[in-house]
Amino acid sequence: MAGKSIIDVLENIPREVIYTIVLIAMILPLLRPLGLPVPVSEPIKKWYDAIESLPPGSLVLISHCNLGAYPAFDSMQVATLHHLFSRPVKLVFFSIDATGLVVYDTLLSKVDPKAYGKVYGVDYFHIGYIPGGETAMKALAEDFKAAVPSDYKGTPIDQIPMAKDIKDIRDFTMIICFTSAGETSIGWIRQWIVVRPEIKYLCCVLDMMLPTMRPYYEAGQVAALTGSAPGGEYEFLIGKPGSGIKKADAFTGAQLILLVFIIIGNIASIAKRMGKGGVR
Amino acid sequence: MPFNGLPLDVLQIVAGRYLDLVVLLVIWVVTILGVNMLKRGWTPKWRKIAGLEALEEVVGRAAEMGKPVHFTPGYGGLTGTTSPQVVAGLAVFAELAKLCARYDVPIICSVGDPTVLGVAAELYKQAYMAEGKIDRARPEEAIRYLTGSQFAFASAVAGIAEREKPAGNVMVGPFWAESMMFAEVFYRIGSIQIAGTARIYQIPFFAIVCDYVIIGDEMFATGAYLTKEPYSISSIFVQDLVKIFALALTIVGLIAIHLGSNVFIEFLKW
Amino acid sequence: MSVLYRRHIPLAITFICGLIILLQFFFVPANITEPWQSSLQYYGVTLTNWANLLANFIIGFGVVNISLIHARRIMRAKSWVDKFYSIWLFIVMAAFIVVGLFGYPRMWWTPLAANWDWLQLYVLTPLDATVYASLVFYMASGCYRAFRARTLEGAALLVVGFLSIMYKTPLFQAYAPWVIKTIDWIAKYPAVGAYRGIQVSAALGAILLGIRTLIGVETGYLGRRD
Repeated sequence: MAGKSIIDVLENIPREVIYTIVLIAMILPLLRPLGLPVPVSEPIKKWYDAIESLPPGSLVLISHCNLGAYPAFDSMQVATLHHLFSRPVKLVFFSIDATGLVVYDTLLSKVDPKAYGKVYGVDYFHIGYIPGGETAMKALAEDFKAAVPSDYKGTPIDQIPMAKDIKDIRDFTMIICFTSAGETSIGWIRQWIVVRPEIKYLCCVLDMMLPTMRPYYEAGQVAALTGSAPGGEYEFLIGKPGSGIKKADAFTGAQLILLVFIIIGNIASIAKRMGKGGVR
Repeated sequence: MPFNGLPLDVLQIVAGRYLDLVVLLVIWVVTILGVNMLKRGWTPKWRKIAGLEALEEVVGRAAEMGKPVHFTPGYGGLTGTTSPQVVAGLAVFAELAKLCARYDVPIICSVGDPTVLGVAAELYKQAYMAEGKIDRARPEEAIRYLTGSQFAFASAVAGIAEREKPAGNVMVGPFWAESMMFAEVFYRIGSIQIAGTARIYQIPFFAIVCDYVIIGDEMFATGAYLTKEPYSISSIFVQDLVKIFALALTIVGLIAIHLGSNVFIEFLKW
Repeated sequence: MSVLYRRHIPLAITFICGLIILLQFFFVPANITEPWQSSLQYYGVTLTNWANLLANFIIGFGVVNISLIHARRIMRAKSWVDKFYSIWLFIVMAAFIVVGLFGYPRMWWTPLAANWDWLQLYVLTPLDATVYASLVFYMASGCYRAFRARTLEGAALLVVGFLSIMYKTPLFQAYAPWVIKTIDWIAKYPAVGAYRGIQVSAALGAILLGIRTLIGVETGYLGRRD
């Protein structure tokens, strides 16, 4: 750093320094939660209200995330399942990715449907992984049983009690999608919501994908749209605190530090230019 | 079994897709007519796409520094919904490989989907053949399949960047969350960067880090732009005509809705 | 290699397959009883399945390519660190192939199924999550460098970027509701407008690229013309 003024250093803080401070700002709140308030944002309220207003006996299709995206969607998925299992509705799980089956097992081990008196095959079941992405979505919409000959364990679909009455898209009341892929979140709109707008579509994507899903939300094709980050808010709302609330503090820590860095960088940059003869 | 005893000749259009079909047919006919009419005489003027113009700069810099150039079409394949972007990326790769062959600059092509592997290797060989340097082509070293797993692919590309320190990095194709990682790692090692994607989630990341960005539908003009064949350039002109038509439709629809008419919306549902 | 083999046959295959897929999107046979298994759709699905099958078989080429590169590296690399990484790649690849082939859930051999799940859940997921999470550092340093008020456009990017980060920070959601309102407005109007513009023109571009590919004007993927 010899020969560099303090302004030069602040204008170009080495990335290693930024990385280290951001890391500390994230780890500290995880080790020692700050207990910052968890305000419930509008999208989470809408998500909650949509599930709360489901008529008894409604059939809900849950398209859960793949394994790679699981850590990001963990708290939102677990909280949503807690909420759904507490309601008198029936659930059909679907995996759009081959690795999703492991996600399903993990989710169920965390939520424990038995605690809510729910029975596999009667109140919920998993149709497994169907390859093809949008082609699979289309197939499910057109003829459910043709697309799903058996559940994920290989049990023939005719032997699953709750599957007896499912024919096609018209039997579903809601789709809930958790995904890190834009093709999946928009695919459900193209293959299901466009065909049957009456279905409520709840969509949880990575926060950076929100702007691209927003046009569909504004057009009324998505009933509730949220990023994966506010899982803590949902946990707080349904009274089931989990990993999401802890993450909220870490989130605040990292983003506050980032804001501080941006301010420092700009002050240094402006000061340097003023030193050179005024701001242009 | 295949036909369920149904005759193939009795067909009907799926409800709600009449307009889609008409629009598709109109675009199709206009493209064929336009391309055939335009290729005979007048060639339209086209604006420069800075990102594509800079390919030569990237290769020139690499030649001066004695370092390789890195290219990746992302880890999208030729069979999914993002395949048009991969095709566009491969068109850029074909041109880049030709420039690299001309200036004797090694090129590294990181592939994340095996369907792209053979095509990329073929394009690479053809580029060297076109420059009369097929004896110097090393497809087995240049074209590298890394993995089909997103973040393993990201790590592998980052590893190549750190180890081989390419002077330039060109990434054109579909990109997901790995985009920022690529852009930052290559920025760190001082590569000049050209990035292009039609996946709008990733454009902001490229825009803040890369030197040149090819945005949205510019991607789909790359093939025609780089080959500079009148036939292809004409097809881009037709593409712009269709866009103008779409814009006009939007304005008509806007006016109709504000005048309280739902006719236009119903027409779109036809 | 003749032009027929290199250009005309691939173009004909592209045209015919593309046309079938398009037709089955627009047309259904009249008076059908089982829509999913109707004739045109059957062709469409068969073609899609072929494409998926081919794509999966091509993974074999990928394995050969990666094996050749790393075998060469093991033989040529001077440093033991480089050799080690390539050897490690072979070990992990072999482990995943063996467990994957014989232990995929509910396939051939049940005892390995648990190991497949274990590999996925305790090896692949944490590694994926770690690399994904490292994005936060890349983004932090990228934002720090890019959000500078050097020009008018830069200042606009700075203001909106800064407010967006505040919007996503739970602390500000609680204590600065005006940030939420401001960013909501930006997201609802200017941002949605811009995104729709890019989305519509990119979709049109993709449709026209499709048509150009079908009619054989766009041949970048086939290499140079003879």
